[in-house]
Amino acid sequence: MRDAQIFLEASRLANSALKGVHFVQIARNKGRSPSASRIEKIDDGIKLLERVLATLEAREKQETVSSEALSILYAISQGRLLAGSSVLKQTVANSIGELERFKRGDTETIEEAEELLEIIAGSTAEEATKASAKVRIFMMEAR
Amino acid sequence: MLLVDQKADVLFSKIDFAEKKIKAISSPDEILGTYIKDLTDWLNVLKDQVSTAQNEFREFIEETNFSESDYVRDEAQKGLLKNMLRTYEEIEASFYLGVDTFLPLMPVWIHQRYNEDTKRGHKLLVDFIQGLLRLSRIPEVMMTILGEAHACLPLSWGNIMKHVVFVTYSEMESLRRWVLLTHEIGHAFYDLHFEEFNSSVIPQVIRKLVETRPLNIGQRELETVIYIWTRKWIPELVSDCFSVKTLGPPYAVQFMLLALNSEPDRTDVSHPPFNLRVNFMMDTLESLALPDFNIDFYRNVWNSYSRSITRPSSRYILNEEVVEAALSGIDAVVRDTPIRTKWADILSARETLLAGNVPEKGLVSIVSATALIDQTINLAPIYKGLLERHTSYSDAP
Repeated sequence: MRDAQIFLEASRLANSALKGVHFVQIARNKGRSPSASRIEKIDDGIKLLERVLATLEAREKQETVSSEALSILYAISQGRLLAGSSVLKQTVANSIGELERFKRGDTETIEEAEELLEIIAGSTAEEATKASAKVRIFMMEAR
Repeated sequence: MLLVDQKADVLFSKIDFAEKKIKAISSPDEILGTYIKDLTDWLNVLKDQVSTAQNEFREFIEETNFSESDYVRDEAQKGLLKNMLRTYEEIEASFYLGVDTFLPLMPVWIHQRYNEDTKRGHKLLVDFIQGLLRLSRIPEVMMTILGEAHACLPLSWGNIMKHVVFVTYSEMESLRRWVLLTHEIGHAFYDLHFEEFNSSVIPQVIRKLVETRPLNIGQRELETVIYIWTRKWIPELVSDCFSVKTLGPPYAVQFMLLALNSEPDRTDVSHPPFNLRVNFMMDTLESLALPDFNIDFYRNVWNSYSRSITRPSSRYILNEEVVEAALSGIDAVVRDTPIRTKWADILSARETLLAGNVPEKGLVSIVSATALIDQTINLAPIYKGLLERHTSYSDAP
């Protein structure tokens, strides 16, 4: 149950950031300035990726890790080819930089970050569904 | 009406239904009442989430001129539509986890609490659970439901975390088996002290897993093993440690009965191997050094089965250094040892029980003492005596 909730929260944050990215892209494509609230949504994604990055680093130093980030690392590893820790750290760091530049309007397209957030949102939602299915069986039996 | 708005309506009607069911309970008892307040707050949060999702979709329509008569071609618009629909999925999942799982438990709780067939036995069980919570200083009251298996259902309503304990219906009169419920309370203990485990034991275990990772274990397997240890096995081992330090030998003895099977070293994603768990319990018991308890006797009994049928595992997930980091870390965080002050009471209660009388002791001590009494001794008169003592008055619905 708790697993499902953690996966769900990670999916919610990644999805919220993607909504921000797409709203901003649509506004800019129309030559309009995006509203501040849309740009703020992108911060959800930046914060989430920063937690993943911090957890990858904390794991090496035996420091406190984010359980949300651990769940993300597990979710994105399931059924997918996951690079080693150093390559993954580089991908996450690049994505954070890309989102920051996109927010400021220094770049119009984002590729690495959008793909990473989509993988996080999709895979954590999938794991949340799997974990919820276990709760469903438990509840059926418990009743 | 747009299909998406119809979806929002379905969610609103589910929230309305839940609110109506809550309002229909005119005077909830003191235990159910604590759940109802938090659930009501959570329903309001969900309602806000659905409204926000609806508003966002209206903004999407304004920005994109989306119409249900055509499909979207622009890449950013396609992406946004997908994100909008995923938001609804997330709310539906939140509703399922927080509301659909709990809502049917309210009538079950009320039925078991007031129905003629179950109310007395249920009341005794509730008293036992509340006694365990007091003994282990967990500041929570817990609904106790007679169900299919011993289990703990955690509920997360925003920042509020609550638990429901399930008890195997066929064991509701088996006093000896009740001590196993301590493990379920242990899950609430873990949630209560999560930050402490997350900043000490979990990083230590991850470090050891990374350090001892064999060459043939790829990144994906590593992430899976880290996940199993940190999200599944550590909470289970914490509950075991908590149980032994709370009820001591009675818990360990009954757990051995539960764990006795043909594959004590079998690894499972959700639970560590029974052999590892029983040995951890024996080591924890030994460190408690309780008087009048022969740990070697129980260790030998367990080993006579497990050592005879298994051999040491060389699996990466059971690496000795990882196991040692987990067990020593858990032992350091689960500091309280209520069994030290309870043990004399339990031994005294056991003597009275052997004489065929109901001891003048607290319910937790008596139930714990029954777990140490030979299985051939009929405890039905004791159960009856406890029912009379604890349920002499009846609750009005």
